[in-house]
Amino acid sequence: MKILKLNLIAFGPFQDAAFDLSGGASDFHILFGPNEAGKSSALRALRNLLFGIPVRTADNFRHPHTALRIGARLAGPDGQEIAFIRRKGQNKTLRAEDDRTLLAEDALAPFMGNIGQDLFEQMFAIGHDDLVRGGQEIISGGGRVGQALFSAGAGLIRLQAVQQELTLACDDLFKPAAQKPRINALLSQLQETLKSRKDALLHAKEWKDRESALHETQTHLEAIGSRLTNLKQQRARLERIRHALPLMARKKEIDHALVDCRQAPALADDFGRQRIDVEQGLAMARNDLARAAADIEKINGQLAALTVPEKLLEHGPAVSAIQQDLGSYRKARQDRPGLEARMRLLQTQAANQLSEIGIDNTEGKTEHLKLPPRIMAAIQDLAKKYEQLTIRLETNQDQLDKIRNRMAALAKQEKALPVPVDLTRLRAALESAQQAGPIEKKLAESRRAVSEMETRLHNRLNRQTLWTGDMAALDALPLPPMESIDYFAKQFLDAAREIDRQKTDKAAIEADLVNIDIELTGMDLAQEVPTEADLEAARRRRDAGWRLISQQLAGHAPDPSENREFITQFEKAAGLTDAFEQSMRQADRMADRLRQEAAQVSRKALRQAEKAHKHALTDTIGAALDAAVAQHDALAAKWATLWEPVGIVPLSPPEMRAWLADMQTSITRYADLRAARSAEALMTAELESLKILLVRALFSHHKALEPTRPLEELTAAAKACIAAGEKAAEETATVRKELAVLEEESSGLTSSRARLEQELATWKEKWNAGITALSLTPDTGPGAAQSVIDGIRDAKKWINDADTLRKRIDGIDRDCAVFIKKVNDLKTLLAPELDAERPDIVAESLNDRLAAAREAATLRKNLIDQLEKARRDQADAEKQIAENNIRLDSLCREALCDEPEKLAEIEQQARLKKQLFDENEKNEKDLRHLSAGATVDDFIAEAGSMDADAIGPETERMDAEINTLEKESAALNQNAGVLKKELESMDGRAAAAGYAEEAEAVLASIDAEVAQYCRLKIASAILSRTIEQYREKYQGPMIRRASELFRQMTLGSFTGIRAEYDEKGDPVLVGIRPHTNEQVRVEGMSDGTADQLYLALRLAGLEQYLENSAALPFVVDDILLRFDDRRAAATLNVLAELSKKTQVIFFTHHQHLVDLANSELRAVLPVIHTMAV
Amino acid sequence: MFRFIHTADIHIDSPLHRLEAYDGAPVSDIRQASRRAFENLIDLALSESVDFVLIAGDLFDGDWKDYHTGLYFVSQVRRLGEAGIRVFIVAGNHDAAGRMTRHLPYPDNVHVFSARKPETVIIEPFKAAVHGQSFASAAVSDNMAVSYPEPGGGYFNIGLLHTSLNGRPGHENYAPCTLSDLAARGYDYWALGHVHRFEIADHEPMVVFPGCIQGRHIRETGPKGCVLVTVREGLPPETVFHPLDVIRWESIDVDLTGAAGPEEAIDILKDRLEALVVENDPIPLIVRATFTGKTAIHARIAGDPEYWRQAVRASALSAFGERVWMEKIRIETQPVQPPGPKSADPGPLRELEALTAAIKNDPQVLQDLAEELGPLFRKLPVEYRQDMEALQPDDADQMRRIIDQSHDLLVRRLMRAGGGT
Repeated sequence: MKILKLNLIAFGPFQDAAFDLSGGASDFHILFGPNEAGKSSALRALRNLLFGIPVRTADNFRHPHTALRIGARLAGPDGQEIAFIRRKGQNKTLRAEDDRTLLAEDALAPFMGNIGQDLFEQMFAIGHDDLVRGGQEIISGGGRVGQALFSAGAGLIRLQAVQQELTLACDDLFKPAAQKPRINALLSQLQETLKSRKDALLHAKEWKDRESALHETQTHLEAIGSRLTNLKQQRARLERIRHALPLMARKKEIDHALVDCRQAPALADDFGRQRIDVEQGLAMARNDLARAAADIEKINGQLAALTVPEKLLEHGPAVSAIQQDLGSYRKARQDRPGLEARMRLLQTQAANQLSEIGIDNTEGKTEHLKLPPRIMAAIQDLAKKYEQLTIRLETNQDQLDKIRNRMAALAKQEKALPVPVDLTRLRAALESAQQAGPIEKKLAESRRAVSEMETRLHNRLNRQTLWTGDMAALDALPLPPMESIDYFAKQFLDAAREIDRQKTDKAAIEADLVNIDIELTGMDLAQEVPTEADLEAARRRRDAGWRLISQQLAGHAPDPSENREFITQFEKAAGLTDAFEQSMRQADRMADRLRQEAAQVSRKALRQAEKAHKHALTDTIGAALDAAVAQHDALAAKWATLWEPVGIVPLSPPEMRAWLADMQTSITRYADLRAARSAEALMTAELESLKILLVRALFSHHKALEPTRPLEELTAAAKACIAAGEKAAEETATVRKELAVLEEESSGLTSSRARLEQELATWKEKWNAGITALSLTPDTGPGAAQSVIDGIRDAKKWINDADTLRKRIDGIDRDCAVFIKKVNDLKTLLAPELDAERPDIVAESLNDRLAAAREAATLRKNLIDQLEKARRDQADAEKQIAENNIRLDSLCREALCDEPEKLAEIEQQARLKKQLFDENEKNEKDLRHLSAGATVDDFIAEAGSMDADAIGPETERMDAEINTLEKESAALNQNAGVLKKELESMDGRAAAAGYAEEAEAVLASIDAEVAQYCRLKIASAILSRTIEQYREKYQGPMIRRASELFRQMTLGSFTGIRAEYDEKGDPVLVGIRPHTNEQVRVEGMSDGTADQLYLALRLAGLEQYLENSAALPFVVDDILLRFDDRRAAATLNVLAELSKKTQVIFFTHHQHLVDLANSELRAVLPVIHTMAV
Repeated sequence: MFRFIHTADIHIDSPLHRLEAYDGAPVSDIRQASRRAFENLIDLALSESVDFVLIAGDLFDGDWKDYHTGLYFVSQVRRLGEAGIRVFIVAGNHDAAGRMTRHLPYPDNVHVFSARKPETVIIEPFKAAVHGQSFASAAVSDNMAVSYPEPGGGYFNIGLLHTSLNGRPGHENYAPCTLSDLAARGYDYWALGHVHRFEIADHEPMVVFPGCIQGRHIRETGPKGCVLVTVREGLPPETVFHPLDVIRWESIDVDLTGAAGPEEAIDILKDRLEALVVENDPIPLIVRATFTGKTAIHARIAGDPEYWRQAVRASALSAFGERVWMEKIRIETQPVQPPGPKSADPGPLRELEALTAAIKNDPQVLQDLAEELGPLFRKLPVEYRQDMEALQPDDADQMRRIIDQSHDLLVRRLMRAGGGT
């Protein structure tokens, strides 16, 4: 296959870059891409062209995925061709040249000779990297012939790596004597699992053995159990008998003792206690009786010895009464002298006080000592009033003094202040200036705006080029209305359309004419269609011939010149006859054709007629077109006239419409500008007048400022001036206001002083009146008057106290007299012997005597009470004795005895009898218990039959046996327990089954790994065999050819290569030096030489392939990078030579290689294509 | 009316064969699968309150000696005994020689038929008679059916027999007999065992193989279970198949024709698996996938079968989780490239292809290659050879297949290692 044309329609950086690989001097094409990108993109394009554009491609940076296209034309091995476009996509990526018609996916197959992409790239593509790696591969493989040939033949580079991979992968899986490889490990695991399974197995015998052992043990246990029960029963019987023997002996003793007390009566349980009760009760009662009799006798004696004074007791209350008064009597006698002394002292004190004040009271009169309350209150009020008046007068004087001082100070201050001035005018000027606002700033802005507007308008006018007038002329410009322009625009459009229409018609007719000419030419070309005239000519020729023939036949020799002329009309005519024959055939054929091709003839005639008609039509349309053009020109002239007044040459109406609109805007702008200018002038005038006003007003306040100063400065000066004037006026007003207030206060104080002095005079009158009423001299002041009043009050109080004491002394004297009379009356009646004694002694003595009499009376009453009680006790004791005697009798009857003294003895016998009976009963109960169901008598009889001394040894023997049996039983039980546990663990568990499952899983893994191992191992074996077989078959021819190529490429520094055997006997490649025939092993070759060796082998392999297979282009990508120029040139020659066998496409981006190819290649000239992106 | 379960070929504790565990595979589902399936059987008998259960042989697996298995069986049938359900057993070829069947400490509700002569057990309350005889040895070639007892008049007669009938593919031909032999007995129902696939061999009288209750290898695909039989006075017995298996084997061919890339191939596989999963819901599946068809990715998958195996497992795992266990992946695809007239070129790869073709037909080379594998196969234990699918170097067909696979693998590696610009 050959690539005739490669068109990078849209791919990578390319757009419609076509390379013609069909022509040129040879099939050796050098595609030079000045930059790397262009070259590698083109290389990829070539590959993608043949095998499709990959899903993920980087070549879409310029054209989107959907637009990617590579076009080509290929020539197949049998000369057939295909032109197609490859686009990107999943399927249907092949299209015909029209980029629409789909081609079958396998449309390229006949051209590719069944070679897939992989193989193509291995066999028919070689790059610099491949070359380097191929060279290294040969060196590292020690130049082994088989490997070198095999890998060069298939374009393989990593053959050794593949071989190593296979070996390593096999070793990872299995090694005969190792643990780690996967299969070895799995086998160990399997062994372990199988062993675990075996260990977990339960054999039927194991289970049965244990089950029967358990059964046996249980049977044995049961036998021992029953023997033990028997023994324990017997032992228990002996034990009972042993316990019964002492009971039986005691039973006999009781029976014997009962004989003695069988007669004793049965007594109540509390008989003993009752008996003791009665005996003790009797003894106590007799005792009580004797004591009562002794008491009675004693009390009677005491009564007889006792005397009581009845008379004294009769007056007892009176004696007690004076005894009570005795205390008061004695106290009064003691107090009286003190009271009298105090009374006298008070009387003396009062007399002294009064005499001090000047009142004579020697007579003890008190009337003039009276102080009437009404006058006293008035005097006290007046005293208070006096004090208030005095204070108010003093205060008034103080205030008046202060005010006068302040007024003097203020008057001084007022004189020092400036005189106020009028500010009205200044204020008015300032206000006008302030109301006008920031007028200076506004004015500046306004000026800037005006100048800007001017500039803009100026620029605007300069921008348009049609009109050259001044801005001021704008208003007067005679511009046509917009409607006129619209009218012309429409007219122009209509005129142009008319011209177009005529032109189109003309073109259509011309095209028709061309078509008709083509058809007519075609008819002639196909075979000149004969016309009637042609037939006529042929017939004429024939007739001429016939004429000559008939002349000849008639025996007339025809005119030789005529004859020759006729004959020469026919090629190769031998003679007249022959010529006539031809002329006749021609005429016939012409007639036949005229008949046969009548339709064709008529069609031709029709077309010719049509042609004539079209020509006529062309003329008409030409005239119409001229008219339309003329009309258009006239319109243009009118259009120019319209603009003459303005003084410009117009452009097209649409342009002029825009120009007019622009000019109108300019006119509006100019009006705006003028308005702004007049506003600015107004503002300037206003500012000036304001300034003048301010300057004048300030001048009147003695401030001289120029009107040229800025308004702001003027207003500031005005403000300062106003502020100063206002401040002075304010201060003066303040001082005057305060002076007025003080004046008013001063006059108020003066009038209130006069009022106070009046009040004081009135008071004086009232005071004098009051003081006189107290008999004091009128000039006595309020203080002196008060001390006289206080003195009189004290004296009056002392006189009253002395009177009170006098009355108490009188009372004491009266009470003493009454007491003495009562004492004397009782003394006469009851104790005359005390006549000489003082009344208070008598009273005490009488009282003592009364106390003694009352004591004796009390004693006598007690004795009488005691006597009565003794008599009652005597009676009680007698009654007790009688009752106990009756109970004693009753006890005797119960004990069946006549004599109470015997009761104790009988009672003791009865108690003994009862004890014996009780014991006997318990004894029998125990025996019955021990007899274990037999009657007591039978049991006693049975026990009696036993030899008591044999019981002990027999029990011991039994104990020993029981002990032995129990031990045996425990051991058996333990054994049974173990067996049961073992049997329980044999529970149907799935341990072994689990291991079996695991073993299956391991086996499955082994299956998989074994298969993989076999695949790898066999693959390795097959590969070795193939390499060897390939070497055997192709070693000769391939090495011969490679040797030749190697010699060429190394420029004769090697004469060639050949196979030699190394130390191991393996065939290896060696290079042969010229002259010396020295063998150089690949290890001894330089990298570049190894590359050349590999290339030589590759090319030899390729040629080998081409001998029997269809050719494909050999694509070479810059492989000469490591070659020096000479070797590069030699290699280019080799490639050029190869291009005779198959197309060689050499990609490079090195200019010097292109130059080298141009200069060095002789035999086969390369075709150089430069790729322009 | 009465009802009974007819089952057979339980092979308790026989493991699932050659099932490789891998991360994410539903390992817990297959653990003691035969026991779980058998427990399903017991549960079914209890929940359906059947009147008795018939086990037609191969209750235990012949190669299996663990007495635990027997004890486990006893513990399970005791559950039936507690519910008053009787169990009738004949020994088959697998459990004839073993001591397990006849000597276990069975509870009272279990009856094992004698191997010496056919027996009849009358179940009076249902007017049913069960006739049966155990295999005396592993291989019985006599026609046992012909010597079965005469049917009891007025009884529903059941023949319990372990037989391959007139032969079934994949099953040893034991106790052979014909349908007419069975019909001649005049029984109402023949409860057969031995064949692992459910089959109603005849309707008059009913002759039924219930199949095994749990598939154990790739030749036992599809649902496995027992037959629930309902007998009504005067009517033919009704049979209903009940699946009991806990995990199910399936083998599928996945046609990759037209698949352009591995993703597409995986999608085709997933669609097939999806359908299977839905069909068998909720039982998890053990699936063997055989990839067939002409596909552009043949070289990729045949050239790296290990990688393909991992990829298939990983995608099945991600799509179906524990519902699907990919047992084995077989690659039988073919390349798309038309065979066409190949060039006579002596290129190395063509040489490789030619050599591969040649050695497949050269017994001497096959033997040489087998010898290269000798060190490995001599190390493999006897258990390895027990699987009939296991690769054997002396099996020429297997070797040829491996050689083809090796060739694909080699081409893939050489191409990947190839040059080109």
